[in-house]
Amino acid sequence: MKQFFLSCLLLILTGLSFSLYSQTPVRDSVASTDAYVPTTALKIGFVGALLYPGCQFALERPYQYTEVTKQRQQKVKRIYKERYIRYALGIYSHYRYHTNFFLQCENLQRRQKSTGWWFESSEGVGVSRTFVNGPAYTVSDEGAIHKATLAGNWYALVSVGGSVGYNFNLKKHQPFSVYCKHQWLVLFPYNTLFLPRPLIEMGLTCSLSHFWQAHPVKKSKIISSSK
Amino acid sequence: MRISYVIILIGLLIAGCQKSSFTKNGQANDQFFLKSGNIELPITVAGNVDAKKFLVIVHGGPGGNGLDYRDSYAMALAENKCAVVYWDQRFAGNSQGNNGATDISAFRQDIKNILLLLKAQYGQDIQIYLMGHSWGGFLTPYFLVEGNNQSLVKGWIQVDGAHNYRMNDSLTREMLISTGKQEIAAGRRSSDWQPVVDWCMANGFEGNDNAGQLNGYAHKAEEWIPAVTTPSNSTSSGGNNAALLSHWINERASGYLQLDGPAYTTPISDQLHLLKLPTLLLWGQYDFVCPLGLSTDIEKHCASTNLTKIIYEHSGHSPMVNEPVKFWEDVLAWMERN
Repeated sequence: MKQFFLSCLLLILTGLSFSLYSQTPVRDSVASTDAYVPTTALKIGFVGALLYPGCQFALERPYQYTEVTKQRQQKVKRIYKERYIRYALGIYSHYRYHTNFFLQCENLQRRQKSTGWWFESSEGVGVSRTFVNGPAYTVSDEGAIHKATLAGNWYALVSVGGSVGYNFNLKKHQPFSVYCKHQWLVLFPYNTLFLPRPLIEMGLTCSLSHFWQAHPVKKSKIISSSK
Repeated sequence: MRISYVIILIGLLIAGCQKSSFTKNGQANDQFFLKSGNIELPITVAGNVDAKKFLVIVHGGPGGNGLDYRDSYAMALAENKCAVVYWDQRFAGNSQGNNGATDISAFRQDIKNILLLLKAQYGQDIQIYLMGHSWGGFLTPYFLVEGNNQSLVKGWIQVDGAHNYRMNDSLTREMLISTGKQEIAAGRRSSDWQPVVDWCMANGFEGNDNAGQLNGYAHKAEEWIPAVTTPSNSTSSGGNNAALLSHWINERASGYLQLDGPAYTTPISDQLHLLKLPTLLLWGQYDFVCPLGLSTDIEKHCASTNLTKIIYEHSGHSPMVNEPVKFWEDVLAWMERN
């Protein structure tokens, strides 16, 4: 079962690699950041549910961003407050427990600094389907034993998370970012209550210029300070 | 497109090469699940299957964990001589799912289904010994007294079990008072014992609140007895891939659902006369949680003509933790004889 899912995952990964286009790098810096627009991006990350490995594919699409210009006496500082919707499909496998496929939609709030560093918080909702890691059997009232196929459970899911990343577009003019994200998935109802799962995700974000182009609403804000 | 076919082919090849989930000879380390309604209960069978003797552990709790019993002693001593079956009950350990039945009769059915599954997969000729500890010591006789369930089992091992909840609470209270007074008189940990004795003198044992308080004191009291020892090289079940958060949540779910509530209205004492199979009673001398008096009740009512009782002088509620070498030697020797 596990091998079958891993094969499918590999297949998806191969398929996705053919539709990945890199964005033409946007020349951007504190001096000329007018051209910077957050874009739709594909995220691929390795996930660890405590000790247990997995991965996550996500597509994030900006819907709004605010360019905040802070004018000080000697310098101008610019940050971007970006809002994204992120659609993510993830999997982790806990040996002798379950393999969990989860699909979630997240709302991201990202604070992109002109240095390239960004910080993000997110909250999401979704659905999870677990498959127990091992064969499962049912025993009928008459004592007959049957092997259960695809034994596991559906759960509703909510998540909260935070991440830090570096956007190579702003300083190095490369269309990708690297990030590290910590997330708590909460699966419910789990034996009447809920099951929290902490995840650590590390991965790569590639900007997509020709796929599902985003036209985020831009807002500007200028903060002047005499200090 | 061609690469997709190659990947699918490789995937199918790997899937086709999987070994059977059930080891038929040698040392087993099998993992499978019993699916019961919307709940999947994990079962680990580890040890020597050639002996055809299977020791099924019915863990404590409710909300305990079968793999907690798989420490270095169980692995080195018991798993060499027999196959040990570690099972997580519903709402316990790594059991997973939604909204399974909570009635104690569902636990009883789970035990029966596990035994049927073991016999179907490892052979109808295997000999199964059912070992209940604490709350598992309620479930085990509760299962055995029903219908012809005894025919599925070769022997019953009761380890500090709670077959009669009401009697259990009463005995705990009495033991806390009598031992507490002795310890105070001897000048040992008087400041710890005095409030416990005072509380027990002022309160009865009836009701959930009193039972909860008595249970809390009982666990503490065991730690205050100098004769109760734990070997320094005793190791826990680390490395068994227990899902810690699942275990934690299930423990809380068990409490929230008060799974053992019906045990108060289902005392097994008056049905023990139905039990005729070989019986081994193992008790810690200083078990305040399920006091020694419970074993006396079983001796008094059980109809088995083959009943052995062993008391562990340096143990509390869990002799497999306090005196693991002696404990496993006794269990294995008894299984060998029966």
